[in-house]
Amino acid sequence: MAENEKPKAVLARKSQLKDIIHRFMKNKAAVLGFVIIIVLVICALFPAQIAGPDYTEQNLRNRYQPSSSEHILGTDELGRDMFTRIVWGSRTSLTIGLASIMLACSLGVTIGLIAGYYGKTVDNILMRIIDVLMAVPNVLLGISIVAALGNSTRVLVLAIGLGSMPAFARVTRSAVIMVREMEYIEAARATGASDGRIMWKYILPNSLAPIIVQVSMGLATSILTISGLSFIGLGVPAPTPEWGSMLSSGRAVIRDYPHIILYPGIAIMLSVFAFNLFGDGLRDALDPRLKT
Amino acid sequence: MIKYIGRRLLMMIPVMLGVVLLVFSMMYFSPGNPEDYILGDMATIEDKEAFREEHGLNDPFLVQYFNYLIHALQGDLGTSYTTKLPVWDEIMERFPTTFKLAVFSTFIAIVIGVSTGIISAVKQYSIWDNISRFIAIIGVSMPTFWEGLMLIILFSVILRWLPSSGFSTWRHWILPAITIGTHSASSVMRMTRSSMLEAIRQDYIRTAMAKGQKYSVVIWKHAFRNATIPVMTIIGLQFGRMLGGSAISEIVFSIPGLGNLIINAIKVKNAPLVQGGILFMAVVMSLINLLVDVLYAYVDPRIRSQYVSNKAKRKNPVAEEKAKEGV
Amino acid sequence: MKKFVAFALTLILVLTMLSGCNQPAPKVEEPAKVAKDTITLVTDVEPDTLDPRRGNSVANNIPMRLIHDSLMFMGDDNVFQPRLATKWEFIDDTHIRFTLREGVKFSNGDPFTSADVLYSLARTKLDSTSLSTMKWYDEVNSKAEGPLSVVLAMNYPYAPALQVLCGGRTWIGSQKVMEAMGEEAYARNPVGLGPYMLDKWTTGASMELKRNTNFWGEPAKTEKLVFKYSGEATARVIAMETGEVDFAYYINGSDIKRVNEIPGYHVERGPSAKYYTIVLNMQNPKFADERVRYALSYAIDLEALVDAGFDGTANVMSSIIPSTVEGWKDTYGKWEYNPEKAKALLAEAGATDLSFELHILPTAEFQKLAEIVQSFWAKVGVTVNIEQSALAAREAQGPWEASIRNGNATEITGILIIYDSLFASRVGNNDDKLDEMLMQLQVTYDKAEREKQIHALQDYIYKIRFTIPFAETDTIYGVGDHIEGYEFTYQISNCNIPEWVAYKK
Repeated sequence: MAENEKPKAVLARKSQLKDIIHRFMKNKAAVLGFVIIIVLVICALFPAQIAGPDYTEQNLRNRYQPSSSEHILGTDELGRDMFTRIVWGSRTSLTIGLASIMLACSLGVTIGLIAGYYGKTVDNILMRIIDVLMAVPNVLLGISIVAALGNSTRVLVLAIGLGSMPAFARVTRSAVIMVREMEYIEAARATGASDGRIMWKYILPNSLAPIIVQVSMGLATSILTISGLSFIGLGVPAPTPEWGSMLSSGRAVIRDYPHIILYPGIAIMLSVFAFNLFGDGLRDALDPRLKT
Repeated sequence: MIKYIGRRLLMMIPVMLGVVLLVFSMMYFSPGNPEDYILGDMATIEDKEAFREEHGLNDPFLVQYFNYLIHALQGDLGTSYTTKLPVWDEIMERFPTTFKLAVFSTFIAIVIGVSTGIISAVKQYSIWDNISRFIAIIGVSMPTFWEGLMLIILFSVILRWLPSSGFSTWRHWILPAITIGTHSASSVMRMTRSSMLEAIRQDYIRTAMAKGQKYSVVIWKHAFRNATIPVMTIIGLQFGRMLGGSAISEIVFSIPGLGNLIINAIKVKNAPLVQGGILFMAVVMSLINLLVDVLYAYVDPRIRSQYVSNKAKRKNPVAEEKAKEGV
Repeated sequence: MKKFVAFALTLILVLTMLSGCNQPAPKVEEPAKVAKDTITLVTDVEPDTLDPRRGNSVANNIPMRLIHDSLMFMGDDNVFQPRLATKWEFIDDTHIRFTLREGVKFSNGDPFTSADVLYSLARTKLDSTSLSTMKWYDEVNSKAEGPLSVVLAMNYPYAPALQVLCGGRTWIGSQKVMEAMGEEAYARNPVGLGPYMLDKWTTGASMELKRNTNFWGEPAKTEKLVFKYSGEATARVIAMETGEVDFAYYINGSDIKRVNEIPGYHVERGPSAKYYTIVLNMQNPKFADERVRYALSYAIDLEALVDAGFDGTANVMSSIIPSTVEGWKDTYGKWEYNPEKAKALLAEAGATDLSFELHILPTAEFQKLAEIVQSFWAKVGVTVNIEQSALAAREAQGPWEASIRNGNATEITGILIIYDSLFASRVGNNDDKLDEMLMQLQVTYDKAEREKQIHALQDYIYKIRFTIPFAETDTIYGVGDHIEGYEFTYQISNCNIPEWVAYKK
């Protein structure tokens, strides 16, 4: 039976995908977001080719330089090239952002699926656990985890991932609740498919839209959180370039050399902005009914 | 209604127990011993042992957890390691500042968010709408600490209009309130816009227009009034978030609020203060969320009837917004 | 004409002298100056307590110097001055007799007696933060010889004892009040012997002091003091620009020009006792080979480090102690920066892929220093992981493999305490000869002999290279021109605030 269905489903999905892409491309803001994301990803993949390999190279006699042909964005408080560090910083932010969202997504979606599918007591218990995580402000949750376990990249991923997880669980759960009453789920159940199979094969694919949107939105938030943690000195350890810590080290000279604060801030803002636009565009494209 | 509130309050209990467990275990399993922090490196092993006995630090994890809970229920959150003051007193000294900051920020969020939201909705797809929406997304994309620093550069350093830190006069409050407020203004704006749009599309608006009423009157008397409910609830939610989430802004502007207190306590592993502070924030935020839900149910009869009958699947924009933002 | 001016000046001078303090001087040239009743100061860190035995940081001692008092005082001139004690004499190597000042009262009017001295000093032995400096003190055998005379006993001869009694951990509190209200309440609301008393303390924001009318000495000239706290140096400068404060502590090097350009304010700057050093923990086998330690020190261009790290407000050290300290001598002149030699030494010692942790306190300044050091060491193939935690978190005390520390002690034993083998968490000294030398210094009272020993210590510590001291920083204050009576001191908590008068601008 499944074999019979497949070509049809694939066909349907293909044309659906075409529709989605078409709708997405019509949204100029979303396309702008997408383009920025592409640029970011390229920066993160090939920083050495774009900005040179040595982001730790200090030139202590050449500090606080303004923009020049040699240093397009000037140099920082240790005479390091700001452009190089910002380009390399995209790798830091994207890596930690992606890893933490993957963690958040896999945990959150699993919890959301189970809670939404089984409902009742299971739902109640799981959602209370989610409530616990949501009751603690994200920044404070992150800070206390990092303070307790030390500031390594792995701990950051855990801290940010845990903070972003509730949103995934809730989004998935509400999508699942909508889907689980559908007729084809009833049909699948009637054929004797196991709960796991139903969740994995039928419910998840049909709840995917809001989850994908949440991935984009979650990335935006996690980039913000990483920079926030680094800003207060609990982020990525030196000398790894990170936008938030670059910004933080420029605080003491904010009045004389505002460029040290300006550029990393713009980098953070642009990337968060891009993921927000992209997420918004995806939401509209995936589910035109939600469009406002 | 009372039944509903009671149920919600009951549901808060396990969540709070969980929060305590979470924070408690984070502190418990983190490296380093409290006696080392407090007694210092000159203390003898016997002194440290005596301290551990006295403070029950040799008890099993669960015993310690329940001891903390029992004390917390009696309003005793322990004593701060550094100042030796009761944690409750420390929190109470800082909380009014954070609260006041949240009030000011909310005010700014409302002024900016609601006005631009209405303009956006009324002039949908106009240049104003596009600009407002664009700015709203920028608003949520800026890190608050960066926005704060930029405002300091502009208003304190270049223009010299406003002080950059401290909180003694009303002028000190402006920059932090703008910084925190604009972030929330974006959410308020988006909610205002979408609920206004929804309201404008309703039949009765068309009827009113058809009856020849003036456009502005229709917008204000009918559409806006109907849009206020979700907008007010999102404002309530944002207010709760500000109480908990403005910690970094408090640091940027050197405001001695609760978030600032907790962050500093975390840095020096002042466990009782961290546990007490986070628990307090969690309770306050949950209570505000509850209040928002209750208000929502109270003003919107459709929702209320759902709670009373307690079966219909509810489509509650507030709940959706919460899910989306991870409040 | 000239004669007339000279005559007029003489006349004014004579009149001024005649009029003395009771009458205001005749105002010839200036419009009437009105003194303000409040001076507002801004500093970086709020004290965590006002407990008289907890004066273990500059932040705590700034208000404590005003609220409390000590037996004696030592200013920048290194001369002891009487405070609560008017006379002191060594009975033998381990007993000192103090004659206390008559008629001294606490801020609440209670009389001050020898019991308060013994009680306050005995308390220092019960708190870890003061115990380390007071180990020499024998509280059991110290006795009162009457209400205004005490004999303090020592466990062993301890040369810096008198310096330790000049305040800090040895402020004198009121036994009666401490016992009545409890030590913790007292720490928040002390009754002291200083020229000022606490009026209002808003944690996290400000501390207000008012004149203590029961003070034994010259009354404070200004009625009220307000201390504000702002961790950002930039914010402290802005506070002067907006006229919010009359005086600011800790100005950054990059802000000196700016402060001097603010109308009505200027910078006061001078050497300080504050110095920065890299500490290698000798309990760690990684540093056991002397060649490794030498390599690590040759690898750093100290001049570049100090210049970039402090923006021109610090000097490279040429000895292991700051030049303001008793017995300082130029030990090694200009620093040898020689990465090639460093690499060779590392290779020779077989430490080609050396890697260790470097601990710092969580401030932007330390972060910057650590990143520079990290980069220099990276160039000779040494990998360093920067770890940071707050000083109040005990883990900051170590033992860490290596750390960057600053010291602010003015007294030689206080500075060299990090080399004490008992103080295992820092240097973790495992060198018996050094221990012996340090011990000898503590029990030597003779001045010339002390100097000889201090010189020998500087040579020896430089030779064994357990530490790399690199910078002694300047103290920089932002001072309102309208403050009269200001005198520079490099001991930040010793500012002569009670003598200040600020005039309305």
